[in-house]
Amino acid sequence: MGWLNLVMKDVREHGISFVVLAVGFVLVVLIALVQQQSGAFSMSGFEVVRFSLITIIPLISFIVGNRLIVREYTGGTRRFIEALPIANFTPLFVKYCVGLLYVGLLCVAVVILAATAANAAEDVTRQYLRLLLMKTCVIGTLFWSLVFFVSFTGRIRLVIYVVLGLTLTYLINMPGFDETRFAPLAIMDRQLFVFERDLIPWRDIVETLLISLAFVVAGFTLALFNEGSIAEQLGKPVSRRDMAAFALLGMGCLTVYTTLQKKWEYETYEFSGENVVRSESPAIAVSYISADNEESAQRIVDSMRDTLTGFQTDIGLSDLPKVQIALNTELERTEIEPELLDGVLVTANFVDYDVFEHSMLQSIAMHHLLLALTNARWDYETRHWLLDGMARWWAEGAEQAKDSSNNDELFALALLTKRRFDFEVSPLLIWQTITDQYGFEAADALSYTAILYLEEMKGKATVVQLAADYINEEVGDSTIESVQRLFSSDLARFEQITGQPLNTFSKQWINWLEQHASRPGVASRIKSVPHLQGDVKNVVDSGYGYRLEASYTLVTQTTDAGSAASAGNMPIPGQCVLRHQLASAYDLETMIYERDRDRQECKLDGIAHSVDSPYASGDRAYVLLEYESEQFHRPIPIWVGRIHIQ
Amino acid sequence: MTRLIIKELKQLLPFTFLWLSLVVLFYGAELATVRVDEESYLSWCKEYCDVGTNIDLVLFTILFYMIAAYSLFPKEFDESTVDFLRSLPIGRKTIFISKVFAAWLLLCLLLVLDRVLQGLVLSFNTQTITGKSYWMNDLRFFTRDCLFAFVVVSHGVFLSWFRTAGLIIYCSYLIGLILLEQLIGASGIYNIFSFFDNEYDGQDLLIDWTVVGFHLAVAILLLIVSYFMWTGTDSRPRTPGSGFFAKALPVLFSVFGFLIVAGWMVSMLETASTESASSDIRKRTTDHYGFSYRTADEPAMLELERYVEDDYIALVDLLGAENQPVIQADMTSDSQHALGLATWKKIRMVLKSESEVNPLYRRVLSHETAHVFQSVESNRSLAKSANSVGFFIEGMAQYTSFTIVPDVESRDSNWLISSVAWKRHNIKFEELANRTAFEALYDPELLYGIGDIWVEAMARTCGNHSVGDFLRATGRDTAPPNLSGISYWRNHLQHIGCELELVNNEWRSIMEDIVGNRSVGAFPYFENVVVSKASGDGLVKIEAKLRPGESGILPEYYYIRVKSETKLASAVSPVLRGKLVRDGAEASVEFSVLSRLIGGKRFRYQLGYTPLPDSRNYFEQWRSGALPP
Repeated sequence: MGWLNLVMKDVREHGISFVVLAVGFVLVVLIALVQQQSGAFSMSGFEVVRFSLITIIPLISFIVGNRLIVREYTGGTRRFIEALPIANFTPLFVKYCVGLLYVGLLCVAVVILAATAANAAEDVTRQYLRLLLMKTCVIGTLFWSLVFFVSFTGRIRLVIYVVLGLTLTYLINMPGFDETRFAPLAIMDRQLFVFERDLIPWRDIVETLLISLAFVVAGFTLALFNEGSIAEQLGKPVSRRDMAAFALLGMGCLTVYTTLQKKWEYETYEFSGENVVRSESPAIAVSYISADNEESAQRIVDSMRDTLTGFQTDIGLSDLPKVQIALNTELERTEIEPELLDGVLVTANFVDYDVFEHSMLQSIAMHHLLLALTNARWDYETRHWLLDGMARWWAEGAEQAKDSSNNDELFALALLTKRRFDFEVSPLLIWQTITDQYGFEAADALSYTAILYLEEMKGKATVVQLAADYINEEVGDSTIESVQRLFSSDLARFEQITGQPLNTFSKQWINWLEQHASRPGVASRIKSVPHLQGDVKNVVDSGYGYRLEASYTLVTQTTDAGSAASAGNMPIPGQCVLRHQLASAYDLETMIYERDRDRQECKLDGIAHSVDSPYASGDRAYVLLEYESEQFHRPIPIWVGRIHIQ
Repeated sequence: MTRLIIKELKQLLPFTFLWLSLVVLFYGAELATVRVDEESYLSWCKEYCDVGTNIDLVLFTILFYMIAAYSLFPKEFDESTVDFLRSLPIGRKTIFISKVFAAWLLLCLLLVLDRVLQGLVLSFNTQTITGKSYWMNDLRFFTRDCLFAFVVVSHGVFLSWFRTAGLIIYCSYLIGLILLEQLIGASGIYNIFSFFDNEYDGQDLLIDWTVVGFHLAVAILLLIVSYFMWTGTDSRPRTPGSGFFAKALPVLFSVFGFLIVAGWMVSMLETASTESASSDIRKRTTDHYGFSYRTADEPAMLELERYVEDDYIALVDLLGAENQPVIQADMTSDSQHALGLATWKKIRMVLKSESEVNPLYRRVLSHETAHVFQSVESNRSLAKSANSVGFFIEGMAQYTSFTIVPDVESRDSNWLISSVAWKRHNIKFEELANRTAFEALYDPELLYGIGDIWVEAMARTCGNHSVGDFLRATGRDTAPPNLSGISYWRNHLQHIGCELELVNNEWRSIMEDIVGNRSVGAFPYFENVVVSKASGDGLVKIEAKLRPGESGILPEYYYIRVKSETKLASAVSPVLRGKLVRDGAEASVEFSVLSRLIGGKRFRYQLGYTPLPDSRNYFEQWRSGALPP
């Protein structure tokens, strides 16, 4: 009857603690039941059973394991037991059974408590209770078996618990992993655990019990192998060997994690339906909603095919990612939305596009195609201007780009933008700021003119070589890629290929750009835009109502519009627009998406815009003032900034 | 003292190694999967520095700090090593202070290391916008985290005297907070999670010194009590303390606490059980439902029963359903927030008056039954992508229930309110496909009406069968698992031969028609909103001017919805009634809000009204509010 004496020893030693623990457990369950009853969206009191299984029962299992096993191994008192004339297996088996019985009783208790508290309308049948009890006890068994095993790992047990917990969290949160297909998580499914009344998940139950058995066997092995030397060693303070084990364990988890991160093969996205125009090589598809729009779609496919074929030949690529363009009537005419989805997908409201807008659409598609080819790396700030410029350059026909009919507007836009900035460093190297302050259209125009200048100076071959240098390099997803960038700067690459330092190139390009200001098509457009400076303030009216107010001043009178306005107090032609949206406390690359516009005359005396704002003190707002002119397809940004509402 | 602190730091080495191994794991995983020079401050710290409270993060932090705190005293007492310490010519006070200080110091040092590592990582990003650093906020985060570490260490030192029972006490505290939030809407400064409630003034992180001060005061008090508890306890292996009080107090404390709280709980449960027993719950079963209802509601139940099976079969036909689950329907709900709720094969709903059975309760039941079918037909996959399909979940249930149980007037008013909101707010499909973002901007209930119109557009464009086909497509094995937002929709619709742009085009066309042809409804605008504190009565007053809409009519009823400030419980944002004030041709609305519902100096709210008799409410976008100083 050695086993009975061992049981009594554990009861004497831990009995009171276990009773206190059980009392605490019941208390927590009762609070949870009351909380469940008062919850706005509570469906059933039995949800407390699942709640207990994922919170308090693991905690109690851990505590019980700590008392029953860990203390004896770390304190060395197990030697007294081992000195007794009984097999080494018996005390371990008794401890496993005592712990299992205790955790099992708590599992039964929580189901009974939930059943007792259940509303009479819950329809608690015996069959349902049996099913719930079975699932609860199986999970309880798993927890105790796990704790039983880990308790023999001595000082590193906390590390194992934390690593197991983190691994589980990673798996559950991993988008490509459906945890509800695998035991034991399948049993714990949020919906099935409590609300499935008919189907018994036999497979998951058996698998969970097998996992439990594996933990039990591992526990016994650890405790009995070589007369318990492993468990004894683990019970000692942390040594260098333990640290090595931690590192190995960490690396193992990392390997599992990164392996699971790899993408699995699934269906790719391709336009379906009848209203799609396609090109096989290069792969292009344009969806157009209804037959009325087929002509526009065909036009896009034709011009896109020309652009991509030219690009493919220039760089020497055998395959290109698929380009899909969808007509989206939800978008405003000026909104073009690209994304990387199984290639490139661009949505735009392209039905009434003119030549300039078609070119813009192609440029954006090309931009994302280049991104796809460079593993989304080409938009790093110091090289982003090349991406924008090259995309537009190929969209305008590469070597034919210098003669493009869109050049006047693009040069005018670049020059209008240029007159607003005066940077000490090359604007090509601070591309995030350029895009943020002047808009992506301005950045597009600036970079395009820079590429045109590069082509004029060094020839098409240099431009293509520069592009190929980025397109043909292997780009990784890890920090190694970031470190490599430190040793191969974009400035050095530019100089190596073009034979000219970027800063020198940048100065020459700006001078060259200025020379184009006198071209008739460019000059007329520049003159149509007054040189305005905007200012935005938030004001607090009586009683703490917040408003945004904006005003304009004329910087120079060199434009037709500006001269007219200052000479005879004539209103400035065109319209000034204020748009605003909530901004993060931390600066991010952003663009205005708010469609509400306060459109006013660009008056120079006093407040031009005064709008009610939904903000309160402490908020940040991203505000944009822009000038709308018929000479340009897109509004010209006058002022962009983030203001602190106070 | 210094030597004692060093000794304690050595004793905490295993904890330090644990922390360091986690750091290695975290940084290893991150650096192996991201290009660190593309990480901005916000993208790196993610939820840690985002607005609001990250409960999971705080729980993990508490657990971690507790491990450190529990490593201080119990082991010394259990292994009697405290006797060696006490035999030294050092006061017990010094020993106690050294231990507590050492744990706190270690946590602060680890926090310094964390900040330094983060700074190193972010220094790789040299880009002009995303590469900006925020050292002032770093300093504030560090200060706050150090104070939090002190608070949790003090909790741990106190609770560790009770050994395992201490953890149960802490669990009770956390659940108690949830209960408090459910009962009164907020847990106020008692909530330790409020420590991590990120709020910004412009770019500056705000620290709520009221919360911090309260918890620091409690922490100091607990440390004083702990001092007397630990210094008054003699060592004895395996039992907490050795004196009578030390031995009996934990048991007495637990039993006494249990008797009081359990007595209260049981009485509440008893009351509930008595109520349900006295109300005499009855049961009825049909082919596909098992109903539970109150005897008093039997006439309504009998009336409803006439329709349920036909409506169920109509739904099966509409969806082309492959499964016909038996549903447990609890008709005894008294919820003030929702007429019905549904989950896997279970429905809870309100059933009161016989006269309202057709069409109201009949339609609610059909609506909730549709939710059950969504779970079953999609094999629960719809719920896993709830953020992307939230509008479809509600919209489809609306669509099927209105198709099966027509209620033209009610549906028309829903569609009108939804279409006006869509037009005024410029709502895009992209926003619909991100429920969190949608609900952060607009009235969450808009999802019902807008979703209903979207599903109608889907049925018109891709056929009636497409609704059920879509459900099954989401649960197929070959579905890419990591899709969300628009990509999710493109992929699953493509699988059933339907194009997103076609559906969206039809959807907008329907709403344009409704807005263009509307002849009823009052939709004024709120302007010049002013927030002020009413003197003395603790109420916050919010006043807004009204500018009449296209119809020139003003509604009769006005409402304000204040964003719930609960952190642990999933509570409903309270909706309060406002008062219309006319001053000649001018009109304005006044709302009064209890300060505790606002919970701090800054809050979010929506203003709304009832545009048509017996219609849903129309709410504007969420606004930010701040109490004047």
